[in-house]
Amino acid sequence: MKYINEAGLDRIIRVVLGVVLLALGWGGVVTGGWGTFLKVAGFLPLLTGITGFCPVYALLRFRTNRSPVKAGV
Amino acid sequence: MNTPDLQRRDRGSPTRGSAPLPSLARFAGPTVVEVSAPHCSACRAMKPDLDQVAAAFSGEVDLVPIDAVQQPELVSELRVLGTPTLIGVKRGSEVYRITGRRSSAELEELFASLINDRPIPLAGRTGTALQVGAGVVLTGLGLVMGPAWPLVVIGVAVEVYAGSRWMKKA
Repeated sequence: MKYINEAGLDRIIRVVLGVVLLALGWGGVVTGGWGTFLKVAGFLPLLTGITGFCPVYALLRFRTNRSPVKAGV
Repeated sequence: MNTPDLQRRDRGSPTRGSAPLPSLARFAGPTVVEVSAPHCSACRAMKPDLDQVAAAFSGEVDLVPIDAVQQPELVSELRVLGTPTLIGVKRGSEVYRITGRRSSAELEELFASLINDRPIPLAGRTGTALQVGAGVVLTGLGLVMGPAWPLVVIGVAVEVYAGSRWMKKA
């Protein structure tokens, strides 16, 4: 079942951030150690943004979208 | 525990069958179970469209509203994690589950998919637009910058992911 714990704005910010980081890294704008870092780090916000699921949020039982259903669900 | 009280809005009577979720097994015909809550603004916003679509499919697809606050045991049994959630039920088995607000056109697709077995859009339009947009931008940047083929590959992968989510068989 699909599970989303990010709000729309949260997802947009993550996707934009991911695209920028990946473009800087893989596009050759930033090279060397930082370039390698961006090539890898860019995937994190991109993937969490397009799927709408953040594992860290889930671990912390936090979410930025609507409040969960009451009664312990 | 008391038997959950499911009020059918349109017609028919519950029918038992075999399914992982006993609460859904009672629905023999095409049914959309709507789980909402009074504090849920998205539920209130979607309600008029949902009622309108349900009226249009009256006699073909039943709509069963469930208040998550009044029937917490039932919501827990259905494993609903958020509201609004729409559960499509056919022959007593769940065929899809959608969480979040949907437009009138999307609701029509969800109802129609239960009677004509058409594919349903699993992702919301915002999410899909976000995914497709990211894929296009990445692909475009990859072609412009160099070209940087890894970026092009990542962009295409994101677009394929978006497409697979959008039209997945129910």
